[in-house]
Amino acid sequence: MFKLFEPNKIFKITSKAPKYVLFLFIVVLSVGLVEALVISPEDYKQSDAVRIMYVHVPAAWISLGIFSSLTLLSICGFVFRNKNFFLISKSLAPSGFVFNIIALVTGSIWGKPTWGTWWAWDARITSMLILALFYAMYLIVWRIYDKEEKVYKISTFITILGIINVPIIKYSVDWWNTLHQPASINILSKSSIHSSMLYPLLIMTAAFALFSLLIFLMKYNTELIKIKNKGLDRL
Amino acid sequence: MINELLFMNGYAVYVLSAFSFTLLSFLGLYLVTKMQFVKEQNKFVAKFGLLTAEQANSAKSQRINKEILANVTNN
Amino acid sequence: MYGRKVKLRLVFVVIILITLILTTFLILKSLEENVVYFQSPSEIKSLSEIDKSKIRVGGMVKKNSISISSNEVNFIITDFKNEINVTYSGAVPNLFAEGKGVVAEGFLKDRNFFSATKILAKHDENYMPPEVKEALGEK
Repeated sequence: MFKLFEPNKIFKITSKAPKYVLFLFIVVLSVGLVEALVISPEDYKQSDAVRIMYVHVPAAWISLGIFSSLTLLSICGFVFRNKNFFLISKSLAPSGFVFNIIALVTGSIWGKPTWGTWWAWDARITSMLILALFYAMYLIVWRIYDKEEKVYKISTFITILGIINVPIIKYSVDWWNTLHQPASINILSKSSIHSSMLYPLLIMTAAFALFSLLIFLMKYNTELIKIKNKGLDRL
Repeated sequence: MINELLFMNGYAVYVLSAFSFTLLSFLGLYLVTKMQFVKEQNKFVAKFGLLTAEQANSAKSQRINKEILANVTNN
Repeated sequence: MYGRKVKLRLVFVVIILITLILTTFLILKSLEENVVYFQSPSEIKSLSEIDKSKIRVGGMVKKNSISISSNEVNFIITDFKNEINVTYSGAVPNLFAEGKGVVAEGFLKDRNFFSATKILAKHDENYMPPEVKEALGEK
């Protein structure tokens, strides 16, 4: 089954794809920005500060999603001894980390005018900061060890440690008293966000996901060329 | 109208700084990733140029190698 | 289908995961008091002794309870079971309003009086345009 995804077979697609993904990303982002900054209404309570949500929430969602994928891919790579899983995982990490930082910074910018503070050591915010540290550890491990086998094991261990934090982030607002508000968008029950604000949020999420895909493809291609470079040395 | 749009009931500083931070991070990450990619690609081309004819042919028999070279000439 | 080593590695990962989940659960359970960002008025009422250190109290600002005199703000935080009186001097955040969430940081004078050094507005999960809010209010 994994043979289908072997670099030899997919490089033809991954090497051509970034151009198109970049184009699509710019289109969706432009629509999203106009929706978020101009068309969408102000909130009855937060007024225009609500617009910060359109970058904050998608960034947080995607950074959580990418970390979960890192864990799944690393575990698969570890269990099945498949190098490609680690390569995909490694290529996904940078955009996840950047999205995590964006979520923290924009959240802080939102907190100042609404809560009245830049930072609070509340469960949601602190657990998100811990996720950023796990991302940082993951990225650093790939740089400090030369032996690939070692990197595979340590990075898998880091993702397993970090994944415990993901449900804590998700449910921190329900389990404990936090300053951060609970989730507005629920898959199973009614969402407490008006549709005129939901659409820009979804468009921005699509744009951010495309950006992650773009960075992933470029990074993955770089990794493949790196391997081929080593192959040329051996000739 | 434009003024109202830029004023955002006094929240403009916060909203615009959040959006510009996001977009600047995007740009930064894109440029860094692009740079790494181009660097690796150039290294490949340089190494390929040093190969003997026989070695080049055997390297070309690998699909990915052929693709990389094709992409470089296309750009 | 897969070799014995593959199965063993899978079991290994699963055991690590279970161990970590249990450990984290136990740690969080024992740290519960420190994880919460604020306490509710009911929790303050049931304190066995009044702590002199800085704490946070959170809940709703009771309707018609805000009174502003010279540079002091007085209001009542309620969780609809118990209430606590808060005094505070200084600027309050924009979203601070009656019937909305609030977190006050400061010191307890006794079980009914709290002197705040900082006021944070707690936002709820409802997002809607003003017109929609008005329409809802009319119902």
